[in-house]
Amino acid sequence: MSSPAALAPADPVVRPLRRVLVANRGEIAVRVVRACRALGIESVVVCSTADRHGLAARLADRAVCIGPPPATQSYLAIPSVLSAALGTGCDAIHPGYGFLAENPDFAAACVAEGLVFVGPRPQAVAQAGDKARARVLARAAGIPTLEGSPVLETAEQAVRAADRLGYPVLVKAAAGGGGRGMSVVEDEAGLRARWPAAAQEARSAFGDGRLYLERFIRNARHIEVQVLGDRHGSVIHVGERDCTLQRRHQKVVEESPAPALPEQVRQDIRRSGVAFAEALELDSAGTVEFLYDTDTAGYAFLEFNARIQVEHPVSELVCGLDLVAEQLRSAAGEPLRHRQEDITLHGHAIEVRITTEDPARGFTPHPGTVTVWQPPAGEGIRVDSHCEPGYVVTPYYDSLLAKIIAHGPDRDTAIDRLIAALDTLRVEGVPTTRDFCRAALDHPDFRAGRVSTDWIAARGLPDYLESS
Amino acid sequence: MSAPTEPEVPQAVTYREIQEILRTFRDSGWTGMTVELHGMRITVGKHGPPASRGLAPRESGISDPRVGAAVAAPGATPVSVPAESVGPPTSEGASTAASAPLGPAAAAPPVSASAEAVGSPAWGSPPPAPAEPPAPAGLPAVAGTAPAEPGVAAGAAPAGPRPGGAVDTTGCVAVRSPAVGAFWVAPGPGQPPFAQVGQRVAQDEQLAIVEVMKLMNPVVAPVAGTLVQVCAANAELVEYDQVLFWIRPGDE
Repeated sequence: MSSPAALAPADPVVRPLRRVLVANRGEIAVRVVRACRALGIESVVVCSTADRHGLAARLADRAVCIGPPPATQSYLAIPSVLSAALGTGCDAIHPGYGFLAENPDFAAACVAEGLVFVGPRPQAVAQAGDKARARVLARAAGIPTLEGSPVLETAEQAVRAADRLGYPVLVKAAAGGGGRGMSVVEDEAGLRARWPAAAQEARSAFGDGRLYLERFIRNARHIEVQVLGDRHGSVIHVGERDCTLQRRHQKVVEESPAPALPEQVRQDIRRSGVAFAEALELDSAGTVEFLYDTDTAGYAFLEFNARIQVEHPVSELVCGLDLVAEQLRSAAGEPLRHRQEDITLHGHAIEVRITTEDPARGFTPHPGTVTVWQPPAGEGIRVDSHCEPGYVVTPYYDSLLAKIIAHGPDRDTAIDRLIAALDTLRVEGVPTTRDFCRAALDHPDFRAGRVSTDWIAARGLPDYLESS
Repeated sequence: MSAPTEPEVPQAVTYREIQEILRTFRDSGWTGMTVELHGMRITVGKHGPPASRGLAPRESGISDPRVGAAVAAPGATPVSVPAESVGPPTSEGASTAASAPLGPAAAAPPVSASAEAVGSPAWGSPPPAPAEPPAPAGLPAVAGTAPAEPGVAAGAAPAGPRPGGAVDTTGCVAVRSPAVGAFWVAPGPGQPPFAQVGQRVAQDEQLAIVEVMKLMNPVVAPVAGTLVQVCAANAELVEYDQVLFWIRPGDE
């Protein structure tokens, strides 16, 4: 446990937050507003002109229109977001996920303006955001890391590094993350061909063209640990999540706890998650991501996300905490109210992301108007959504409509409940991934926990397209 | 465990407190009310803010009723708060309420309120200690005005066209805010405003500034014509796309 003295001089005074600016939109903005309400904190939501009449804007105590629909002119426009926060007397900003959530310049600007950033300290955000640096930190903390290279300057250096690692290798952007900025190469010719393009793509997507290599694991599962920290040096975990079912590195199904994992590995992964958070001096919520190699039963650090994640509800249903409320409390300077031994995990929870992507058309997202929206309800069912009848899906933002989550005393019950819930979901006006998600949940491979990160591409999607 | 924190005197009024005050007032039989709460004086009147000793003349323009933090400098312009928008706010709803009526007349006679911070500074910086001792918590000093008798004026009516009063804006062109930020009617502190109601303005003539984190965005007239209404108050937060002015188009 890192000593409090090692932290940046933490303000020992608890300053309860009175008014929080929610710098996001959609379902996560609704989520944060709900957490604010639960804590008696006023909420101000920023919105673009496209989201003015949305659920988040109506639920918040106030909504402030900060720009036109394009995110670069609204949700990503740092001066506009800060202006809205200061002009409405907010004392803190919650960035949600995506947008500015892991932008260290934004976190630092909040602090410079006297606003509390509901998230880790800016230095931790910066350190976590540089994926290559995060690996170095993990290694120094004694956490297994995927064999990889430091940042490489030239294709020649890359070829030498790849020879050491062994093909196939993953070419990754140092400033990437969230599944973006990675590509697999099978051999030296592929690496030489890929190298300049990967650098250029990274430069345009992340403003930083630096690349490194990582060994590529064919039969991988994605296991991540939800950690919580405070400004007083405490770090705890609330269990791990398994987010193996992905499509183009975007998660489709997430669950907690991870199924079919040797108990020793589970404990080791959780311990490594806490160790990384302590090394980072994490003072808020975060997620430590690992890859588990099914063939060797080994695991390795992948990256750290200094934000609340989309799939946080599955952890909440299993551990019983409100993780967004915990972020708000930590941001106010409160110590964590739970020690590790106070955390008990109950049952099993699974989430699917319902988006407007059409699996039959290469998962192209479809804008349009949702004419019918009837979310499921029932025992153990939770729906996190901003969607409602009349909701207009625009091309400006991601295509997520809702997260449907089911909890049960065991995994099979959770799966059954989630399938039943998806069967009662009614959406009209836009295509959705509902049927595809349902098929994946019902697939014998998923039931048996016999999946890997390329399962959807290799098995799940082909099986689905064939049957429909 | 953290040390027990002493209850602080809040430095600003919350939106909910203001809505509560306005609701209370509206349900009362009074025509005017002054509330001193937490070092702030809030004056509410059924026919415009009642005259209050020591307040500077009110500038034209109505601010958003949901501004919780006191923004007026000592002795400076009180912020007028129309009470029509008591109830769930929307950002668009607020701007129309603030400059009501636009087009169809407002349903009820507007209740307006002004909030003056006693001893608190402008725009977002932490306030110094209040100049007057704050009222004891839970016991706001309230001076009510008796229900209006014939001839008893509830308060001095301001000179000139009253913002939110019945200004006919049919056929007018709206000037909308290019950004979210502080609305400044003049080029600098102490200088005369760019344009006044009744003035003729040329196309592209500057009418105001919207300041976003020290960056000054000019607000210019989209058409030539006559300025018929200023819809926002100096120093208040305006939103992107919020109507700031109405111009009746016409050649100079």
